[in-house]
Amino acid sequence: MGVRSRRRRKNGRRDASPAATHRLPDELIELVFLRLPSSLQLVRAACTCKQWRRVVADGGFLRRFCSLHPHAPVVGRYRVEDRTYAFPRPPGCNPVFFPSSPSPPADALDARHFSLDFLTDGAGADWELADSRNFHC
Amino acid sequence: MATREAGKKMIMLKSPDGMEFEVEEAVAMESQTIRKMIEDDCADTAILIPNINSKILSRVIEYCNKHVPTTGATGAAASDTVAPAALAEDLKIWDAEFIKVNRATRFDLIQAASYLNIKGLLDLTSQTTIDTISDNSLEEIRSFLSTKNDYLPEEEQTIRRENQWAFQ
Repeated sequence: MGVRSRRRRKNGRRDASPAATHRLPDELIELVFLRLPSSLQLVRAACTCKQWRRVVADGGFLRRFCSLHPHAPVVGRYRVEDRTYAFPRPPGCNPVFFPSSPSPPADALDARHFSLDFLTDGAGADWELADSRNFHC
Repeated sequence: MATREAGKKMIMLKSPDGMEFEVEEAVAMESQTIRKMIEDDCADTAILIPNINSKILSRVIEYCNKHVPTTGATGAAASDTVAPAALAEDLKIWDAEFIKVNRATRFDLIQAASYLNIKGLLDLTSQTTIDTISDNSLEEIRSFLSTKNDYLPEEEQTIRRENQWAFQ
């Protein structure tokens, strides 16, 4: 290996225990999460516990994550039941996200390929478009 | 203090619990934090590494020892005789063994890698967490990473309903 290290114990002390936190502080969790491959994994992390959700939801963290992963969008739609998209929403009526596909094609965000073919039509179909969002993370 | 041993410049690293490690300067400079200290001439005497105990510091030095030939200035000997691909494969296998540690040690290594600014070690120590989050169900993530579920039952129910898509 060509490299040697030498250990010397002073004062006969035993190894002191580190400030053994078995829980990483937020700033180190950020460092780990910045290495997650896509925003899909961010959602998974945020579901795990409150500390992880706090880290993921932080605006500064999201900006850093987006700058590191500019090409990792998750394309899909939010569905709102019973037109509760008006504020304030009743408890438990937040929109639910449905991804278009597990790994969207590179041109998924290209307006020329926009499609509403996931919607049902014909008799009995009752839907309306409420809004659009372009959140790149 | 910086000394010379067998023609190589040596640096003394001290842990807060009284242990001293004499390492080649090139090995110590795998840490960007230490590299900056040395380049700024702040390392005439032994360098105290705060908050990293001897057990973790010795593991960090072990990592740097292994990785310095491929990335450091003293790598000529190894890379002259071993093909780069074989060297990379050897390092990958070595890394996989190195990171077989318990959770507390892995967290301590993440903290050390962050403080000492050793990107490769931070990548390696983060990978277990990343793989677990990427490949498992919510229950498995919590179980494998020993993460306490502190959501209230009603919050948990909402989270599962709204984010079910991310676990399919």
